[in-house]
Amino acid sequence: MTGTRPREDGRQSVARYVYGIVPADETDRNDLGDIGLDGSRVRVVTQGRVSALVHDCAAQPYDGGGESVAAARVLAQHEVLLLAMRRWGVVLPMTFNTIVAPSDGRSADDSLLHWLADENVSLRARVDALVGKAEFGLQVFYVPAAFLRRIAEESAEVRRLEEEAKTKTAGLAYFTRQEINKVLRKELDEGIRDLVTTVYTGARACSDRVTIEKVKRGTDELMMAVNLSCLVALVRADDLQAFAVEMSGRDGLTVRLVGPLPPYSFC
Amino acid sequence: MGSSVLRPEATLVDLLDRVLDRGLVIHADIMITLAGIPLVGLNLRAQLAGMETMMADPAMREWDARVRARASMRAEAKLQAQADELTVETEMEEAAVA
Repeated sequence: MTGTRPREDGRQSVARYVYGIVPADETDRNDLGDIGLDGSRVRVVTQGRVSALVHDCAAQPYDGGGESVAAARVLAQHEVLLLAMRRWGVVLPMTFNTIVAPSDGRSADDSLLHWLADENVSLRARVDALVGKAEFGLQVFYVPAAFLRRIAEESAEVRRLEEEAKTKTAGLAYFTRQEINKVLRKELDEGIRDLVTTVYTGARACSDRVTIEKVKRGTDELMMAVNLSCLVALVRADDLQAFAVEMSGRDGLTVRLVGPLPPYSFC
Repeated sequence: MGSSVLRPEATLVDLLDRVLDRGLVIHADIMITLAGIPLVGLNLRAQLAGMETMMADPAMREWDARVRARASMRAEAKLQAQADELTVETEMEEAAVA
């Protein structure tokens, strides 16, 4: 273990920032380099069958510095975890700002080693459960105008009402058009529900686990219908990609598949 | 016909929720965590609140891509250096045996 060293801002690096947990590897305990938050050197602390990826820091959370600094820190955390996935084949990510502080007369290193020892079996089991798997983000967007056009073309009810409107006076036709809009909204809702079910079922078929995420705000031109996080065995990643391609071939849909990512959502 | 965007690289927007809100949360006295001090998370999120809008800006997307490319290059260089180091060590060991 290295000793504490002063930071550039004068505060002592008495704490340890923990990025994630990897399986202990007797042959590979080299530092990951200066790739951590704010260029910190990321090193490997091993206890028993697991290793923690850490850097030395002050005993206080990372905060402040403005938007660009915060964004760079998020990206740095992600890059460390990506590198860990490439090097060890698996990583159990910690949430941002997980910092081990000195406690009860113990240094941060001692506290970390004790914690790793206490949790060795459960941490290793969690790590082992993620070997060969990665997270993928699957988002499906639709173009509202195209969706509505298709419904209008395919709905027998809408076609009937449109024919009816043609036979009515302008005043009565107004009420029929209102009725058409009501039917379109109802069928749009049903169409989105069907789409969500189709995407979830298809993604679930090639994933170990799937979580439904909050749908992000869209635009008039493009609305998000489904936002999923999928834990996928890498040998099945092609299946998920093929499903995404199949969905993107449907009229009015845009599909975005991002990954492989560290399994942030499946810890 | 719809379009398909299959990307191996995540954008900052993809990462915000995952890096800030996900991952293992440890409940132990020795930990200072985002969960233990909610204001930290809120502050950081507040700093990044406009990021989704910002990422719609091509300049911001370029910046995001540049930062990730640099980080990736640094990581690759580090791995290559480690691989070279191992090769040299192996060659030296082989020479010693010979």
